[in-house]
Amino acid sequence: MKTSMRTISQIHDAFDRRELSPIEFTRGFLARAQASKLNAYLTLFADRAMAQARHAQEILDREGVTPRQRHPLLGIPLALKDNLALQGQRTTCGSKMLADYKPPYSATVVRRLEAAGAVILGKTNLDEFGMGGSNENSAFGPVIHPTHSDRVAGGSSGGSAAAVAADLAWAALGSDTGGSVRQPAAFCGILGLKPTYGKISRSGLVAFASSLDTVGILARSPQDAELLLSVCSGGDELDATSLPEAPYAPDESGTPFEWSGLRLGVASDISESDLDPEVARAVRLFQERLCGLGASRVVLDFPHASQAVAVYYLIAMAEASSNLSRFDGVRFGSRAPEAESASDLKGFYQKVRSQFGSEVKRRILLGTFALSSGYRDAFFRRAAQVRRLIARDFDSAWSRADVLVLPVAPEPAFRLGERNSDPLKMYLADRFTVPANLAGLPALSIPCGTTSEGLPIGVQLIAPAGREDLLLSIARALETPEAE
Amino acid sequence: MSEGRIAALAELARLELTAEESARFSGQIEAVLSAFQSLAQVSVEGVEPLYHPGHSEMVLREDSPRDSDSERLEVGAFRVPPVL
Repeated sequence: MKTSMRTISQIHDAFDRRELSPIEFTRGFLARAQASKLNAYLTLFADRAMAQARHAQEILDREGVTPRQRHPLLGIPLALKDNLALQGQRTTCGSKMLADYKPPYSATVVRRLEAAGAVILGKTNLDEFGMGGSNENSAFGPVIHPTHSDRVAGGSSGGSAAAVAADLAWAALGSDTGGSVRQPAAFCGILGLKPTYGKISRSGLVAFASSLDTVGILARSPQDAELLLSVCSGGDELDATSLPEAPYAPDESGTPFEWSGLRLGVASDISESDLDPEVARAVRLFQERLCGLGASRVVLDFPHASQAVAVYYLIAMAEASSNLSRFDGVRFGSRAPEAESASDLKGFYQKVRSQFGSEVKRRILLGTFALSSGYRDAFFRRAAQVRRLIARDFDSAWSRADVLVLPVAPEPAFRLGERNSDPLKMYLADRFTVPANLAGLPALSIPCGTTSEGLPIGVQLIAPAGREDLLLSIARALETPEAE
Repeated sequence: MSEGRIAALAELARLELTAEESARFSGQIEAVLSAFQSLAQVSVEGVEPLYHPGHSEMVLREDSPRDSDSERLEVGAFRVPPVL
């Protein structure tokens, strides 16, 4: 049953033919999630999810067929990264600081999913506050790769990616600040969409770096990614940075994709020797495949690309140090028992904030440094200036290319524990994903093969702002028989 | 970066570090900052900083009250546990 279906539309067809019921569908996911050893979920909502599934069943029974316009996600079991607020349910951000935090409201995206009929199975594991690329920075233990138990699932949305890849959720939401949806999607062999900045409301997404954070989608098929984007997107008065526009409209025209007009940009400074050889080969074959279909290839210079990691981390850490000041035990954050006996306010704050994990502390320190008196201009302001230069490099690229093709990560999923002691090496591995966040552009990670060991490899497409349709059209067209 | 400098930053950020953390962070932060030194080579003369990639116009709505954390709301104020 499950192997034959790839899209939500096919599930709804099966609902309509009574070959599958929303109740049994959700029950199957919950059973697999409960038996799973991947540590993908931090919280499962068995009763709540079954109640939602029963409600979906009632709607289906009453209507006779799935009301796809009104409830485009009817009976579809989804997972949420645990930095998205769900009213009254534990929302931990992978941190001891929020181990028992229950938000008083749901994120706008979560409300939209539930209004569309989705079943929320649970909340998925992540690097603490989204800070990491391996999920090893979670206070609740790492996520295990779905097919290689000695490997990481990637991060920071590792739980969401593993859950979808291991069939513990049909699709999932994550968040992408510097690659946190695209990289785990690539490591686990699924699609990961990071939309244009502001396309999906951030209201109810716990802030890490506000000028870079986006809610993203982890899906099995481009059709599902489109459908989820159409439900999640659209302006939101609760997020002043959300784009005041109508929700994304999926392309239902059925018009075949025109490969011959497509100009594929590749960056001149990415050398194959800089990549794992199997990743390099898979990305090259992907480009050749598109060119074989009729696309043309353009080599482009990105003069400031080599600065992207430094710019990204200085800005992300500065914003994080500011955003995370709210975890002080008064506004947010659980009070460590030692805090209760502190003799002054500073001691109280320090005891509360000692609950942060190492990576979060390291980033707060670096961010505090980048914003501190005497260093702000040389670090934070200069990083923001170079950020503009990086954005301009993209602007010039769009006159010669429609879409850029590059790796997601320089290598496939690495071994658990292998990188823990070398944060700089971890940061540098983000070099292909952070530029899209700095410039606010949409980007899609697409599976493009596996290594000889069977580890998935992903390739990344980046498009101009607002052109999710182009990314998803390409991904859809690649699945048609003509593109095989 | 010296452990003394790390201690000063930790105090600004209201973080309490163990001796082990302080020693470890000192080396790691030094390595990260020296890798980021390359930024200093980029010519940024006259370049406006980009602090935000979104649309630039400010979106304001009516400042009207609405339901929020009403369980904890008492006489128009939130009750919180004592701090000290």
